[in-house]
Amino acid sequence: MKLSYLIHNQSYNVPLMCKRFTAVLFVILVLAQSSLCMGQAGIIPDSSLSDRRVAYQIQAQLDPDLKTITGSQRVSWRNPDNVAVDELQFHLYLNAFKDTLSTFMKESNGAHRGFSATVEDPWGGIEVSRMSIVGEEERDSTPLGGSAESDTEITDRIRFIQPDDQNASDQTVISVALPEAVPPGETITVEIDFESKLPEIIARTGWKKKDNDSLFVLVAQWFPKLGVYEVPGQRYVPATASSGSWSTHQFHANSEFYADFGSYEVDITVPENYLVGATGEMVGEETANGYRTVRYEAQDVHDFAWTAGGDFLEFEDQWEHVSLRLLIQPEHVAQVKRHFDAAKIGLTYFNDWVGPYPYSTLTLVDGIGGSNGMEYPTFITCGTAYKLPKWVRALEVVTIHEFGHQYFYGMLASNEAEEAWLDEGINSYLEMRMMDIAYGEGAVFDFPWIRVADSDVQRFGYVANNPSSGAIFTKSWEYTRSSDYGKASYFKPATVLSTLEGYLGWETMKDIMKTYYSEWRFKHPTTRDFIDVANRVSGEDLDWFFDQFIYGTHVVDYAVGEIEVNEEGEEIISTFTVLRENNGVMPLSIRAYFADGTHEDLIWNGEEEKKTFSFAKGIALEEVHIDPEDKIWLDINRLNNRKRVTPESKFATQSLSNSLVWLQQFFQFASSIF
Amino acid sequence: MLGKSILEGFRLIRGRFRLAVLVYALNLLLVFAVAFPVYRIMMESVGATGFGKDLLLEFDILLWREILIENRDSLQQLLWTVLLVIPVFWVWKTAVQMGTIYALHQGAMWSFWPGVFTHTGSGLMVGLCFLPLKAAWVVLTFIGAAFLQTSYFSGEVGSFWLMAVCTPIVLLTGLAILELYQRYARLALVVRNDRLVQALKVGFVWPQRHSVISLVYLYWYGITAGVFLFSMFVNAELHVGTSYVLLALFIQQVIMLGRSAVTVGWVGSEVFLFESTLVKKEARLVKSEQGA
Repeated sequence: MKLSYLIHNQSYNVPLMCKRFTAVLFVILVLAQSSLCMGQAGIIPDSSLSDRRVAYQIQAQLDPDLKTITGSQRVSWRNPDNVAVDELQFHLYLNAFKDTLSTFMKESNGAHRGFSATVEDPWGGIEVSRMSIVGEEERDSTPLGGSAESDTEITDRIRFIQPDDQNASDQTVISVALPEAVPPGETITVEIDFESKLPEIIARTGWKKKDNDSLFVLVAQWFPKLGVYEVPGQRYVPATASSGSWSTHQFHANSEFYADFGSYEVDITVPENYLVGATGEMVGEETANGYRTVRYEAQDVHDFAWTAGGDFLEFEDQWEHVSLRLLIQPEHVAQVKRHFDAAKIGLTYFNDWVGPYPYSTLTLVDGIGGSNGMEYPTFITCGTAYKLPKWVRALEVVTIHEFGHQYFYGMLASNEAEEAWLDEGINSYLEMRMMDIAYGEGAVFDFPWIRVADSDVQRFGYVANNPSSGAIFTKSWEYTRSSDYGKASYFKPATVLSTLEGYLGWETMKDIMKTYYSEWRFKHPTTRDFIDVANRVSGEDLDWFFDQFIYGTHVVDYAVGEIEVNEEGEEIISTFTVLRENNGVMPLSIRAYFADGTHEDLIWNGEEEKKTFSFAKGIALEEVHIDPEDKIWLDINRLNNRKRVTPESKFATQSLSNSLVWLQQFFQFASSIF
Repeated sequence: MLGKSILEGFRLIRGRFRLAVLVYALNLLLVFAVAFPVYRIMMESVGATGFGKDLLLEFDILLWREILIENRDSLQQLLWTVLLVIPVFWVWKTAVQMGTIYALHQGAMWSFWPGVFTHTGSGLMVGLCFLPLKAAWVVLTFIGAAFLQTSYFSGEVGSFWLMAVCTPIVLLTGLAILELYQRYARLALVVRNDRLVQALKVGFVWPQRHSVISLVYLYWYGITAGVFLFSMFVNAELHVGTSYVLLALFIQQVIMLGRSAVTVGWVGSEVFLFESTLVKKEARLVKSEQGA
């Protein structure tokens, strides 16, 4: 439902009475709608959706000249274990951009997805200047930043650790040994002063100046963020273990994030003329001395990111109970509707296919360069280009994909560093389905002669990139080929799940998604948990499938072999072979077409390397087609799935015809300028 | 003058239609050398699969990938053939142009082939003189565009207009102007039997002195662009049918015959303009210069 567009908070000129009436009507409608929606969904937003193990209060001030964030934070952590815990671990991910020695820089060679530094000092980093434990009494009585005598200084207990690669120069994870262990179920509160220096944008974090000299910042991974303490039985910690342990990974070139659910109260101070967008909901705003401080609050999220810029235009829209806010670069203003339409498609389909979106806000940001295409809770960066044609739907793909991460990452908060496919892959699968349903045959590229669907992109990304290399179930920093991470995290899972859909049917797949969501939202599911849901919902042990394509690198390629047609008396004996040309096994159907236009379908378990089929009929076999309904998307070569007894020349003739015309046109054109 | 020369062009299309057929046939022959291997490759790789019907109806990026991989060697050979055809085409185009000018000069009573045999050599010399100029224009345009982008238009909007709009327009306009000069140099070779240097002088000077030359050129350029777009439209529309492949081939070739007829009309217009008007005007200009 489109209510109004706002530009710099100025709504279009509507008569006041009309506006008031509209506003009242809107409030009534939204309340009615949202209560209806919440009631249907069974989610009550006022109560805790997650177990909220952490709570952050942060005050942050942006210095646009130095590109730094000066911050203080008070973070509380509740020990979920049955034993006392004497250590805290934090991510200091901005240190990935501190120098060339960090693990991120070593693994990425200083460039991320094609973006690298363009200025003399592109470096970033985060420095913790003070860390102290706040006493239980002071926690509620002392304001943030007001240190009390009873605070226990623990700054000198901070040490950098490198749990993944022992790169001593990497400073993206710290461990803090506590003077006193936190008893089971008890909460510790730590106050931290820090200064974050933003890098020139890399890996969807940092600053960039536009041509008109206005500053844009995407402030992500910017504060000391606790790792996840996993208790026995949680994820891969054995249930029989005597204690849990911290799961805190270094920042790798390919890895993303993992943190615990909790609440955030964040005050952000920026120059007065800057617009701010952030995770959660803006609950307050103050202006003083040329600076604006906005307060954001978010509950049941596991990260907090924000953006600010002097050159944003702001638009608003509404989808059921969700307030949509778009911060867009002025040069892209013609694409406001495209952003909102895509976001609403995402909201509608994810709501239908997976489950309700429980938050009340979604902020869409049209960032600059390497800041785009990223997800944070209730906050996504999309990205487009000036005059992007409507038939190139890159903007829509990214917007729907990043919104999908509100589910697969946001609420189903798997460990992205260890099992990236659970968020990127499942999300790519659903994004692909949505794009192709919502936008049709040419969902991604819709040019009259060349229509490319999102499903084509996903399949192509898998089959064209060495399908036998890099298992999906691999830690993101352990892929040996650089392109394997992208393939195994995005394209291959989408192709694998589409093949599973072909095997189980969409309704079952949808049930799997809904069950996975309802059982694991606001938790940290693993691959094992997803498979367990799939097995239970489908009523079938699907390990044979997941072992091959999630844990293994099996490759599917079936082909039609020889076809023979012989007359024996009045009978015509038609014989053909089907070959399994690689190690992947899938049950499949085979369709045999006969000269009279009839066909017969056969089912084969696909296990043998060669299988011969025969027909004795009064009519000759004309064509054999493996997987005629195109259900096995994992088949890396479809061209050999089909074979005719007598070749057909229509396509070749049309190719000849087209070639003649194109070449004649080309030569005629060339002759007019050369 | 403009109207007359254009009308003369259309009259010649009608009057020398066999010449248009000849030009069309020669062009077709040349491109057939490249297009036929495409037929062979598609027949071999798709004909036996049964996917032909699907590919006729829609683009399938995955099947195309397999076709390209399966025929990598044949396609490499095809690419070499295309590269070899480029210089052949350059000579060919010159020969056709010289033959057509010859056939259409002095009342369009001449045949095509003597013009080809007599004037192709000198036509090529003119082409060789223009080739470095055209190459230099391409290089200068890109250097200029790169300079402007880094210095003044590094932003997204500026870059778009500079690189996606202005640069191609400037590039093609410059090449079209040089082509215009080249055409008139070649006209001078055939119509006035000028020597190379004199012909080049005519080519560079006359179009600047007589604006009607550019108008005639633009007129026919517009018609060829229209034929091009119509052909592409027809190609797109015919693409959806599977039953009328041969009919589509026929229609497309009729359009291409039309395109060759436009070539004849275009050259005819320019020859008429050159002979009936410009030669006399230039003679008067020279006389008045000598008198002065």
